Amino acid sequence: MKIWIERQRSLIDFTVAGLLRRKVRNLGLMAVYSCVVFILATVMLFTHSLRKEASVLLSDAPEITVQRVIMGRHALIEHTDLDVVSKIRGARHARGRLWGYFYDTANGANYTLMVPDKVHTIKQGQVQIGAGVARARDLKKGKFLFLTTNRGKLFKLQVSGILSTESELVSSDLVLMSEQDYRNFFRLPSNVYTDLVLNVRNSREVTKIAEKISAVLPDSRVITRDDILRTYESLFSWREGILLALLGGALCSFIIFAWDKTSGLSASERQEIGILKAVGWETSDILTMKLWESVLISLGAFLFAYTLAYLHVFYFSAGLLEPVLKGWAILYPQFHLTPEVDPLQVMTLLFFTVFPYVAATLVPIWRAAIIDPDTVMR
Amino acid sequence: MIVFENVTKTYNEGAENAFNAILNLDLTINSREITVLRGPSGSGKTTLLTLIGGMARPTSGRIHVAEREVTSLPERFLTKMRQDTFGFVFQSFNLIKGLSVLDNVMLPLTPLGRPRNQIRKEAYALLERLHIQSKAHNLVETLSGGEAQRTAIARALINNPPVLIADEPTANLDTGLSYAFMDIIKELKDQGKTVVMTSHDPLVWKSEIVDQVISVRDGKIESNPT
Repeated sequence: MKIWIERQRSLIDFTVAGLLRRKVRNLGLMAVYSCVVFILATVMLFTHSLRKEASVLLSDAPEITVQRVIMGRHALIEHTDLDVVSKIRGARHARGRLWGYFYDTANGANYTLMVPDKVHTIKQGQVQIGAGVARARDLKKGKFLFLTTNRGKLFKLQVSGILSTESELVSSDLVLMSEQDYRNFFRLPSNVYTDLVLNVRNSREVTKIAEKISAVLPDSRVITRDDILRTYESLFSWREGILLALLGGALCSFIIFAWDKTSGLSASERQEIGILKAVGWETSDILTMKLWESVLISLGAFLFAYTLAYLHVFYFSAGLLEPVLKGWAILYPQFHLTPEVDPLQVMTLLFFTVFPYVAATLVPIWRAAIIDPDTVMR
Repeated sequence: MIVFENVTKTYNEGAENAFNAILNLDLTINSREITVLRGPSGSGKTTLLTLIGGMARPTSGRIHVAEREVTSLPERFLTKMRQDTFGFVFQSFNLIKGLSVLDNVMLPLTPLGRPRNQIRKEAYALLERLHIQSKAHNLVETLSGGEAQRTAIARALINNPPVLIADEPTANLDTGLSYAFMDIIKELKDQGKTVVMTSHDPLVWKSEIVDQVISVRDGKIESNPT
């Protein structure tokens, strides 16, 4: 064992000396390698954390949402339907919700206007706004938000609070207002809602209750919390997929680059292998030395780039990829994701970047190392 | 003792440009003697040397080293034989650029798993013996011809081999350094080592310390060298 350790130490010493001898080439290789791993790791860390964030935030969302559908489009639902849903056994806290979108021509952004739950009552004439809206309109607590209805009437609402930045993923574009202001702004009668939401006494009964609602309200669409979560999942996965597909090209280019750099053994490298064999190195010694070399380069670059990606995502809000990954809205949320690393993702990335590089390095070395030193040196 | 029996070495065998570097050659090299292979360029001297040192395999025939037939030894055993039996000094020294004199000398012992300090001590001792200890930490590309050759000799001797093989050792040296080299060879002979060299330098093959001179031409031993 001691001999083995001494042997590895000596080979590593020799490898490091070898790496320093070809500084420019190896640094160039590490820079390209790090770039590829950095971008891939950023996408993976970011989307994984977004999924995690969404699932945490949705854990407080209602278990079932009921929307009325007319001609395949979402329509307003009447109060009588709320009574029907409330009477279903197992349903609890059924309530109507008022929410909708408002396109702000002033800055080309979409806001989500919403009446909050009874627990978060907002006085008439006041609003609470998301941090994205506050940034877009340069608003602070106490200032006034002016909105124009679709009939051209101006609405003046005083900002009573800015929503916490911790929930910015879902609240960035939010404008919370009183029920009366909402109905006046959109000219809605008092007996309609945007949709209905409810919770279920026994969480294992969610599907059953959803089926019952579909049966009694056949013109409605019933959405469970899991459905929403799955939609988020697939949305983030789709974006991640698109990016990873694009990056796949970059990865291929890198492998070709690495292959070219490492397989095209220069005359001096071939001669060096010949010298090592002539002075008594075995083929396995040369392969071990080269294995150390490729591991030091690839693992070093991988760890460096992954750490950089981690800092980029969790401490600098993934500034470089933010617009691609966060969505289509003008009001990009600004929030800090909770650091979350998926070991399986790390291993996958490690496998697809380190393994091809090590293989690309070792194959040509092995081919050069198995022939007679005399031939290599000639 | 190293014995060649009807050895042939053909390069590019089977191809249009195939040629015999060594043809049906019989040869005996005695232990503890200095043998010089002489002949014009392209006569097959270097090929003969690589065959002696187990750096290449003959196309046909047999080679015996210390009464052991080594022609068909697997690569691993051949490497072991190179490690234990031979030290090589190449014509262009073949030192690894970018490494120090000390690192180059330690090279043969690097993969053996011996403690680094011990190897370093042995390397220093050899450099001292060859009077280049002051250059131990210099990069080899900064050395003069004589220093580079002494570094190459130190590397060849670090594993204390019984046989030293040198290919045109004085080709890149001036007369003074060539004499100094021959002094080292005499020392090695006195220590009981076998030395096999190729050279067409009369300073080498006419030297009184040389026991046997073998003339090679067109891959064969000349019976009546001029």
